[in-house]
Amino acid sequence: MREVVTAEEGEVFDIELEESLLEANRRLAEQNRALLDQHGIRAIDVMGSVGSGKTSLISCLVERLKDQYRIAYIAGDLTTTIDADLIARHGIPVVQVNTGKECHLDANLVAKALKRLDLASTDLIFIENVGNLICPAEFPLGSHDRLVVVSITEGPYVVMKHPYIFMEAQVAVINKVDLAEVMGVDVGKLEADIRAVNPSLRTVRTCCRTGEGVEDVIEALGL
Amino acid sequence: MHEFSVAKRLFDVALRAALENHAERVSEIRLVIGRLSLVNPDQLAFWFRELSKGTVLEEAKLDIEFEEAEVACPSCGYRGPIGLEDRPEYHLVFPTLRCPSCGSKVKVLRGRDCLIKSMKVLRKK
Repeated sequence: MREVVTAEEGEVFDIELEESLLEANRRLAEQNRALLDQHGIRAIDVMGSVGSGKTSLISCLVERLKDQYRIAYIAGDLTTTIDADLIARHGIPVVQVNTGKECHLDANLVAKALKRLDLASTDLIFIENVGNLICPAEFPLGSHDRLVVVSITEGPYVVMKHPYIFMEAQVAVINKVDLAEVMGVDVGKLEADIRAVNPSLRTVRTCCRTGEGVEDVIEALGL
Repeated sequence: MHEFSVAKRLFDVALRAALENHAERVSEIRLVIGRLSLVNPDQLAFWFRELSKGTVLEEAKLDIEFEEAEVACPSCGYRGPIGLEDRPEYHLVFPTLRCPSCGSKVKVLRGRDCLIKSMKVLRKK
């Protein structure tokens, strides 16, 4: 016999939901990844603060890699097309994603951007996230690798203050190393902090203005 | 700022469940926030309040519980709380993926998510 207990009208009910609030983005990220894999495309999500050198690094990478791979670029920014215009000078397909007021790219925005690209003739996509060391860590996009760029001008405590983003990344780049002395920042200490957060993270020193270290980034990414 | 996206998702999920259950109002929503998630509970509550104005969710109390981070080490088999790196000189403790037992990189098992567990609704008379 099956017993059914019906609550009175006006009674309080408990509703079990167990629903993740981050799951929707994760699912879309998985769909993005499947779409990329289907076309044999490698995607790299480049994260870091405003002014850390994300665009400069991507520019250096595109310059060195564009004869080897068919590269496309997705630029995340609140409102401007400054970065997209800069990378478009390399003559590669560029899609600007303006998030308006949002502080990070999400998988849905990247899915929209991917629709604007000719995926059949693309091998490699650099996705530049919105300048921010916090929020992007929470929102995977479906990329194969996540690279985080920090720069000497962000000071000696930047890694300790933002450990979460280093947990999510596979490669860390310390940019503007030419300014270490004048800024009084110990690069070795920053590297030690990165290792303290994530012992498997590959860390590379660069100066994107001169191109120093860019070959090491390419090697760290396995490109 | 990403609390707005999370709050919007929370609002959508809770409102859908409220409507499906013929709720007159929702009195409580239970949330679980992982310690490694970057969701700030105060900001989440603020945005949820703003979004829920004028809806059946308006008076819902957010009951937030935190989930501790648990990790597993593929190298030595450690399983337990995530390691913490203490830097007393900066009054700073931060989580680390370094295994507390052998120093290799651990895998995070729990503590990353942000869940809506359940809610209490009052049904229409």
